[in-house]
Amino acid sequence: MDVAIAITHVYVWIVVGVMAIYAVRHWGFTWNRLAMRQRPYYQDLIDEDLPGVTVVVPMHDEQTVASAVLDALIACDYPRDRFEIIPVDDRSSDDTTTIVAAYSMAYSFIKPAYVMGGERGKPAALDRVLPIAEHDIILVFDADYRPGKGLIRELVMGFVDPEVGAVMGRVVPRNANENFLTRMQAMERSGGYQVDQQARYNMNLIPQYGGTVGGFRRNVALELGGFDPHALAEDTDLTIRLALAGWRVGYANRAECYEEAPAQWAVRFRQLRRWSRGHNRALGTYLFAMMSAKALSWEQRVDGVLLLFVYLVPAVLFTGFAANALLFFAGQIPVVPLVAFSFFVVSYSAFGNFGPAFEIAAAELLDGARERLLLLPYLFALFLFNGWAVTAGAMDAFGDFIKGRRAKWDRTQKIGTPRGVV
Amino acid sequence: MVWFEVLAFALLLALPAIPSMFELRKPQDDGKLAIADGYVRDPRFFGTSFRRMLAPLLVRADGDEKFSTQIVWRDTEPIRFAPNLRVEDGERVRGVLIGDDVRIGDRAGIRDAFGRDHVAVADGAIVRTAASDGTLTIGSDVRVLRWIDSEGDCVVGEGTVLGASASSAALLELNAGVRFERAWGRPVLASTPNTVPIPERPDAKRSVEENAVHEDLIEHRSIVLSAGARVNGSLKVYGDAFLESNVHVHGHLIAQGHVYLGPGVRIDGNVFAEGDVVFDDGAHVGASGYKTVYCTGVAILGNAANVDGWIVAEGGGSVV
Repeated sequence: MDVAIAITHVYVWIVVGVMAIYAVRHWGFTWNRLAMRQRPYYQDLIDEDLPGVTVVVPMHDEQTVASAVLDALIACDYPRDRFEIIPVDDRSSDDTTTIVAAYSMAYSFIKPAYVMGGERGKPAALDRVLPIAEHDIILVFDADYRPGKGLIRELVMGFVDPEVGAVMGRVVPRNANENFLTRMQAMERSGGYQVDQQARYNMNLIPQYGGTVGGFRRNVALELGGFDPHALAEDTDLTIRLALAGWRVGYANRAECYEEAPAQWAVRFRQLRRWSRGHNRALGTYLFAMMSAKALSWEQRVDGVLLLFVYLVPAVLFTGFAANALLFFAGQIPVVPLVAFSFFVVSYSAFGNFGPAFEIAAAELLDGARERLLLLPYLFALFLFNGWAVTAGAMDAFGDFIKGRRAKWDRTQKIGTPRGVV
Repeated sequence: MVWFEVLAFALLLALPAIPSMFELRKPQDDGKLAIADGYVRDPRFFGTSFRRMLAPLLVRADGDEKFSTQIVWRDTEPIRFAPNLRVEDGERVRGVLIGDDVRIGDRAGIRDAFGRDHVAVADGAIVRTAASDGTLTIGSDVRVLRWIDSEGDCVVGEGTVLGASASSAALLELNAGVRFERAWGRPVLASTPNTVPIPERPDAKRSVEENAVHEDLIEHRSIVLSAGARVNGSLKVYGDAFLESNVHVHGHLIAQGHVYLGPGVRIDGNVFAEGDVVFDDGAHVGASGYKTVYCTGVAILGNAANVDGWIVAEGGGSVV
């Protein structure tokens, strides 16, 4: 019994330590964003000699959004002779195939790919497109995204940097006003991009390629082995493989693009669970390689390791709470000194999954928010929900590892622009 | 008393959420973040927009007859048209001046001038904006408050301050002491008898010797490229980049520090510096179409320094 109590004590201390590290990390990011010199992206460069670009739009049953994303891409100002769009229709059972075919008839630079068999999902679609893409720069947009007129050019300019293997723009929910869930996601997105990603870019760490509103060098992706069709977080997978190979991810905070945020709790839960499952799979795959990566500085290695662990944090925190409760009922309180305990609770109950409250507040201020800052207390509720979904995903990943099973892609349901959304 | 403590605890816990409830019930700030979907980077944005706003007036001004009218933009602006429009020395004029040949006298003060053939601004004048579908001549010590733009060649005299943007679809010649923020020309050319102050040579761990040939070159500290060195790809430097005379970079130059381009240096691609950029005599940027020199610090141009495209100097640019 004494041994079990001692082990629980140690575990609680480990949790306190982990949470302290993440809190310091995010304080650092927020401070960097608010008070330090900001590193510019390359969007102010204009260049007549632009590289060729292939824009890939993976689609499965996207009839409600397919036309809008293709129209937005057609309206982009990129030179047509250096531009192709590949909508990848992955066995749609609705009208997506008809819509895509109609656009390809009307525009010669729209060259659809139809997937008739094999693995489903975005990583599989990307892996199929790599050999057939005409150009060396590949940009990816999910079907519910609406790129602006100059967005392709802005993203592509990042590749003037010979070290940049991938670029990432900023994702902005366009249906923020739809309901409570979408409002809170919009705030999370702000924290994640406006502060977290930009600070990591400022500090020469590892901004994350997010799998949409971004792109990569085709040849590099091929050299790195393409995409694993069974990966559920092909974006994390590529980010880490690029970093390990010495490539950088460029982050363009001003290259903004609207997305449709899930408006139903069940849909959001499945999305988070899938992300967590895929991300934790990447953790298992790349952790030791990241810790010993010779191509990276020690700061980048630390950031990479913390990035890999990020979807395990809620599980660690919840088990920490449980261990703490166990010690309480075993008559072992005070578990840890009061200050450390307060730190543990206050820091991480506000932490959430995608940014602590202070980081989101800073991001919202930078974005010019006013009354919406009043919603910050509700982040705690969202944190519980996120933590639940993310922990479920972590358990899925653990199950995958134990049973040697392969995950199946689960598409996030989109409904197009709902009524009332401005 | 226990129930009271529990109640007090619950109230205190709920306290921060009470103002939130008002925002949830009656949202005041729930709109999506505004994105300028139609935005496309255009170095001649001001000139293009101005011409679009003037278009209805230019239809009427299609003859030799003088006229005056007014137009409501942000404020009501008086409009004056004359084929050969003159503003006398020292005269102060409000509104928009339109003509085929527009001449602004010494130390005159005007708001906006547009010429279909030529606009000339004499020494010491103060101009809010000036645009020309032909050539544009700006004298010495002129103060441009906002921007200038021309379809034809544009020559700017010594000591002039060019406001937020100076652009020309053809040559943009900047003489000694000219200061600018953004300059676009095909090319932008500096003309000055003065000598560029050469920055201190960085204490670089790496030097690239004469006639060395490289593909993409990436240096994690500062770098010195000796005279005549050639980089066949792009050059990326985490510190300062010091390029001695006649170095040729066939790709882009990316530096997280300052950049010095020695006499006769050629950069075929873009230059992106998180610091200052100093162009010594005859340094040239741009091949196969327009390019950009972007720096977060200051840009200093020496004699015959030229950029085919755009110079964006967040810290201000000047001709030595």
